[in-house]
Amino acid sequence: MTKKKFNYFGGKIMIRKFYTILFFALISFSLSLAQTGSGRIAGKVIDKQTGEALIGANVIVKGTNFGAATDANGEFLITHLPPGTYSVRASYIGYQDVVVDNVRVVSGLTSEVNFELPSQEVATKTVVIVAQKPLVEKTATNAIRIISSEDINSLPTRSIDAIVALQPGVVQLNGVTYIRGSRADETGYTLEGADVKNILNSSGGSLVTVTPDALQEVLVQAGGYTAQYGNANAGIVSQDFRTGTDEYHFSLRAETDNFGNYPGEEFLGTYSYGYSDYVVTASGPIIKNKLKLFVSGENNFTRDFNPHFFYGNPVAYSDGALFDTTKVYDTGALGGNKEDYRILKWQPGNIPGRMRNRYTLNGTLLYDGNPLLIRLAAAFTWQRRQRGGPNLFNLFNQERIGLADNSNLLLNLKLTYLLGSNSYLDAHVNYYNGRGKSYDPVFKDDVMAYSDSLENSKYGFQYRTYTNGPATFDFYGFPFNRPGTRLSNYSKFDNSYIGGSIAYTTQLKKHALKAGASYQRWTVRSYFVGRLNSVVRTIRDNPELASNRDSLEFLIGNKMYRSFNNYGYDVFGNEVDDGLFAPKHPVLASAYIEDRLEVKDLILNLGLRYDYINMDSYALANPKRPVIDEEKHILPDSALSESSTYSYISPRLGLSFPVTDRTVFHLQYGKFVQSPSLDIAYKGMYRAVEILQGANMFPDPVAYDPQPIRTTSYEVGFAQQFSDYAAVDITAFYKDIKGQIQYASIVTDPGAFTSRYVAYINQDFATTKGLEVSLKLRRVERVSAQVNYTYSDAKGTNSFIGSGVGSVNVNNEVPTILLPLTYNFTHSGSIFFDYRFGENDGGPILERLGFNVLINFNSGHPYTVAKQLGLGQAQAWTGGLIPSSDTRGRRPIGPPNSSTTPWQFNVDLRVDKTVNIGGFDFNFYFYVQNLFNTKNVINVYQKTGNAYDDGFLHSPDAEKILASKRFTERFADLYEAINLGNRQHVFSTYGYDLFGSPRQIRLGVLVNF
Amino acid sequence: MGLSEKLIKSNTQGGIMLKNRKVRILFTLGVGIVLYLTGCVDTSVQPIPDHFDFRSQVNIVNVAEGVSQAEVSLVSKDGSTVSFGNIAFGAESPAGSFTEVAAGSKTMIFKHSGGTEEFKITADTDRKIRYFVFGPAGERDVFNFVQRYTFQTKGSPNSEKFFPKDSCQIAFFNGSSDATIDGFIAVASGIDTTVAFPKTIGMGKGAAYSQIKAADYRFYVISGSDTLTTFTAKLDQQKRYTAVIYDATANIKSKVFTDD
Repeated sequence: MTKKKFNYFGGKIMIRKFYTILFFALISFSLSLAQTGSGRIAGKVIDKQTGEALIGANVIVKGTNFGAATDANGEFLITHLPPGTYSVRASYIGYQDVVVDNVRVVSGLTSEVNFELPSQEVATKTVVIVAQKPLVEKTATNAIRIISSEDINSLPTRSIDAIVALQPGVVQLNGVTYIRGSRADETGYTLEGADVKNILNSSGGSLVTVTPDALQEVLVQAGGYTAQYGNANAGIVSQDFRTGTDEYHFSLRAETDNFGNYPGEEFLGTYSYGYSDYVVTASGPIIKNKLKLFVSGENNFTRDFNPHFFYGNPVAYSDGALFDTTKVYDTGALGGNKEDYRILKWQPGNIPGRMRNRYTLNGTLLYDGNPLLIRLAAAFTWQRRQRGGPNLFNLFNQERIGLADNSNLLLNLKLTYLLGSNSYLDAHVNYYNGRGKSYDPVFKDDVMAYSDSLENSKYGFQYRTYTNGPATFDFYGFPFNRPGTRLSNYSKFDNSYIGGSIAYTTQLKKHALKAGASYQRWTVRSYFVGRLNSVVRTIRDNPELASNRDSLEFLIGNKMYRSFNNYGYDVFGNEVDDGLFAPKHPVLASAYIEDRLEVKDLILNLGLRYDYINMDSYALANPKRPVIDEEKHILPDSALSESSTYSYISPRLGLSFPVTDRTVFHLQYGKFVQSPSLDIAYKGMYRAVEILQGANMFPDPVAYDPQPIRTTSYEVGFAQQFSDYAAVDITAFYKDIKGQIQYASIVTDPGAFTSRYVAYINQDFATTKGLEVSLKLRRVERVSAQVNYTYSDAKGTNSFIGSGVGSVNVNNEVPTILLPLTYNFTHSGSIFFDYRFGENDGGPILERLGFNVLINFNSGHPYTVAKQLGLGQAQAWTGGLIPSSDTRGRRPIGPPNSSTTPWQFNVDLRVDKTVNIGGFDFNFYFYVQNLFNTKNVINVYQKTGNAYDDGFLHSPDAEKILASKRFTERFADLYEAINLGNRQHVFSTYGYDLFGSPRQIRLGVLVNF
Repeated sequence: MGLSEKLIKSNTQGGIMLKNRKVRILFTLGVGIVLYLTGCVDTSVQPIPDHFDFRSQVNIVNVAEGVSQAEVSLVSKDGSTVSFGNIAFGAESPAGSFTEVAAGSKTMIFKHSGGTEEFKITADTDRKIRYFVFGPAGERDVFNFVQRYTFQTKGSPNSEKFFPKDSCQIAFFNGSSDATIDGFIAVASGIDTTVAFPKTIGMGKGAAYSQIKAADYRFYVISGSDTLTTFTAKLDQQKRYTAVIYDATANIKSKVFTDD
């Protein structure tokens, strides 16, 4: 097999040698992806009376070993501070000390602190000043949004994703986050400087769960970041944990939404979802001034992890029979016993089978042995959840609702060695492991029992044959699962990476030079076995082949290959490291060099980044003539070649012009490159062959040897503080994205075993542009506020990797014209208003009482009005909705994505009051999400363009159905209750809801001591 | 003095201090390691066995015409052999029971004074099967009568409902080389029951279980309008039987085997 290598310079192929030299040159300079994790404090110390610079004054950061002496200009610079809030002390002989409290240090930015020292003749004791957060980040060369721990605590949500989505340029659609019109897998996530982007999910997201109480800050960069950042073309969400404090501090938090109204009862017109959240944090020194620990533990439990508007059964059928007492008999149309019946009643508010229980442990351990600093950060989560989905049809089969267990662990060890006052060396070593499995709650790991009637009979589940489960109830055409119906296949995964980085930073006069390199090697394993009744039957029918390992393996490959999708595990589920089912080992490496020049009226960020990407995907030796082994159903070695590796150089340029203390312009240009999410490339060998054979329609094919996605980004911004309390930030952006993944049909050469096959290829492109406005009002007279607004115009050839499924399977073509992207909200934004009484303010009732209101809005998103060509193979109860994964029957009426869903408005409220009891501050609070219980339309029926009526009951299809003996008029009654009311057909075919979440009220208490 | 100050003070006094520090650090790291080891989802479990040992229960009946005695064995593809010993004409092996063998394809070695014959048979997984070796030389064959899953109770063949306590079941096999059976009539003694089984059973064919009252019966084997032969059988309640008619018409014989 030959190894293919591609080298690009801004998209053009260059000679490989150049990069090799450059790579090693960068390495030799000493290198990183030290990414985030530290900030700086800079300023000047002067005589308060004369204004003269004080040379050699000492400036120290209290509670740390960080500090600096002022230079000939009285200026100082303290580098490499972990993000946080500090007290900074300046001292000089003959002058009184001055301490500035509440100095916020943000990753990657420089906080300015200036001191005016009074002589000891003027002042007799230390002067303490409380710093205010800057309204304008003068040193930022791109639009960077900082969410502090105080911000997180004050918002009426505990979801970090929801908080991130409040930022300009960021939107959420159906629970997925998009930044500036890019796809979800183009957003990067870091935690403590370690890359935690989920590279195995096209819906993107972070690999790690964090407790909001454990966060020091969250930084959202919606593009335009410097050369040290990579593997993310759209934006970066960076999180940092809190650091242990000098004194012991503890906190306890308890939160619930259950006011005795779970399940199905209303409290203040609101349902409980069985939610509770308990958090404990501890912070303090293990060895004073040397070793500090911060740790948080959380248990988050909910009976419904994604609440929907859900209504109980209606009172009566149209013929007057009461739902609560009427026996509904199985029509037997699905093979069931006609004597069986059920009473179709269900409670409102809560869809059963959606429990989630999660434990999270986050922490940091900081050793400060100046000049060596060691910081160990850990994040661990274990979670169990039910996989029932919002599915009413399991009403009588709760016992078999599948479970999914997941755990993930991130360990990040960061070593910093201070080489002098202005230089330091950083090294990160990080390890991530995420694993999980989905399984049947009764038989767990015993997969052969899932569809074995004998095993099922032990639990009282009655099968029709040895491997065929109970027949589905047919209640006027609605399929309810009988007790014992198997709902689960079995799957598991174990993904890990080992990463490392090193960076060298030095300050040469006005130049902050930084060079770094990183390396990340993944091991990806996945196992899936489905069609379990067929598996059991086939194995039992072939007892001799099943009697030993080799022949059973052959039997699986020969007859049961469609049931398996595994790599990193053999067909039996054991880990393997090589051979046919070898794990995937993608490698991401980078090197960069940056020069940050900071002079009075100009900050210049110049950078050059080298990315090496090896996706370790399947690569067909001849894509026009694929070859498969039709007996073993594998791709023989001769049919494969080694996947390509890619090398890119990406220039980054950032400029900031602090025109005055209150006015800053910034400008950014950069090229970005990343691999597509690798779930598109990773399939088990059998699955890949099955898709190549193409006997069925496969909506999720394989990307053979995909290329990286490339983005060129431009950004210009302006920030103006127009009073002591208010500032506005306006940023305009433009992006050009190439090589996004799309579903395609590959025509093969004559003589190939198939005339065409489907695959994912780099085909889509997009251009996005927009304007972001952020208005901040610092707290004044009890009020603070922030308004964010984004105008977005994102167009591309397709919105999602599978958008072309329908057109490819109908006419083998994929749209290549620019269309509005589905997740483009032309107008979106948020308004946050906070009113708060301080200490000794407002009297005993109002003192330390606060409330805030958060308003989200957007102008809706594009969708395509379309009709479906009849019911086709779909069951009548689905109402002929167009399945998201199979759009072959869709016939657009008008241009794709030319219609828009309605505007959405959502209001959240939070009220809290702090009371001192027994010397401890107790903060009692409640927050209400969706205060007015607005039924926000987030999606619509494609046929009708509204969210309340899909039009089916008025269609000729429905007319025939209602006239038949099986369905009767009660089909219409159930259609209204189950589908139009509770959108069961929507969940089943679209995979998402038409409405936003209903109102939720949560009550909590937080105590700090 | 606050808690933190007390802890710090205790840490600054002499040799215990260092020990305490180490203990604290090790404790902190230890807790983390224990949580990791115990808390991660266990994905190491093998969900599908890499081999299966499926079994069948078999019984062999020698109704091969002209073979007064045969030494019978079953040879699996892997060469393993299960011997059923010498089976006399009209007898079964093992007598009154079934032998458990590995499920799968077998070669039946049927060795008798006239030579050695081989038959390909299949012992299906978890099935209870009776094999009849029948027919004259040159036309010899094996009929396999699958009775039920081995794990089913004897009163519940193939998921059918349990038969009543006063009932039993009987199946038929025609092992005769030249007899045509057009049905059976069973006349009970002691109770007022006569049951007709109007089913034509060709040579080497069988008729599945039928349910009748438990009693002492005389069976009349009907061929055309004649009675080919008669035989008696005591059929106990909740048991199953197979009645076999074998040998050439001139020497027609019958036997009732107890299946369960």
